[in-house]
Amino acid sequence: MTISELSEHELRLSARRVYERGRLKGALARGAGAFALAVPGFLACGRTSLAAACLAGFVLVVVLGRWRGEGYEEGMRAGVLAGILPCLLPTLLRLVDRDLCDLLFAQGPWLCAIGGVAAGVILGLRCRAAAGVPFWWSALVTLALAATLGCLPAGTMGFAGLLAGVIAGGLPALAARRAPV
Amino acid sequence: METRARAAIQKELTALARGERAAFDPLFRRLWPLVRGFAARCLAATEADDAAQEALLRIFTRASEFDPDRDALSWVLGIAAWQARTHRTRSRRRREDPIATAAERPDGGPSPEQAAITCDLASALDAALSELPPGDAETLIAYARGDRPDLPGATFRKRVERSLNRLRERWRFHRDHF
Repeated sequence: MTISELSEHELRLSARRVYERGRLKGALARGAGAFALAVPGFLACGRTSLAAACLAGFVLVVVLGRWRGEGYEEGMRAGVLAGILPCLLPTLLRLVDRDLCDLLFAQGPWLCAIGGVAAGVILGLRCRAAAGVPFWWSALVTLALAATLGCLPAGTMGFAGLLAGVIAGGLPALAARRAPV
Repeated sequence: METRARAAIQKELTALARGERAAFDPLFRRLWPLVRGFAARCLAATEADDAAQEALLRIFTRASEFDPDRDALSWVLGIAAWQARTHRTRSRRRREDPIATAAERPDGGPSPEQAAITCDLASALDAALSELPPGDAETLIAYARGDRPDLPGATFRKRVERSLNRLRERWRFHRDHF
């Protein structure tokens, strides 16, 4: 190996290192953004240990998804986009009028179901770009963690409504996407 | 640059921005000669390689932020040009700094002026000594070295005093006439 080849090899290793470092830096910045987005859900809808775990998991999935890239990143982005409504809708209602939010939760899991439908539609529409296992795995985990923050006050019924909403919204959107034109 | 090579850079940089690590090696192989050649055209040969390396590292640091809608080659050369300019500014400052901040004598020795003065004084002393009677010169040299000839102390002191007076006379004569 000549000196120039050796230095080129070292340069390649350095370039790879700085690439990974740059990617991690970007991932941490997005993790901070995800934290800022989801923290109102944690503060408004139950400061429990489960909610704190969901918040930490959500931030971690965003950081890992961005750092890993490819299908994982696309899935994470779709999951964040889909999870915003179920996470923040109950939070917004609670901030506006606490009684109204409690009343809606008491009437049934409708609030979570509405958020779930919106999330399902968004996921169905976003899956065209990369619909592999990494995409779905990352998207569903991100969505579940974000939506759990908003639907915690509704309990098990809330999660059931959310799941039903995701299926009800996602399947038609997926079918429409994949239908031959 | 060939259209095909340009399209390849676009494709590989887009893939790397998406996180496809497999695109790293081919992109590195394509970019290194390109950035190196660009730096060689902008800077002196001694600085070009350093600037090219810095530019390449900067490109890979920011590769994950690359927007695929932009032209990859322009993006790469934009960073390389910026880095070349930064490098040029830095090396210009480096060239200017030593004049302003350099120590008076980094080796701690006498300055050329001081050395010349010392040399002149030594020559004048040699000339004055050479004009003294040999006995006086020997007495002064022995006194300067700290040697003590086999003489009584008072006698030696008197000889030294006498020799110094003669030396002073010769010294004044040289100072006034040369």
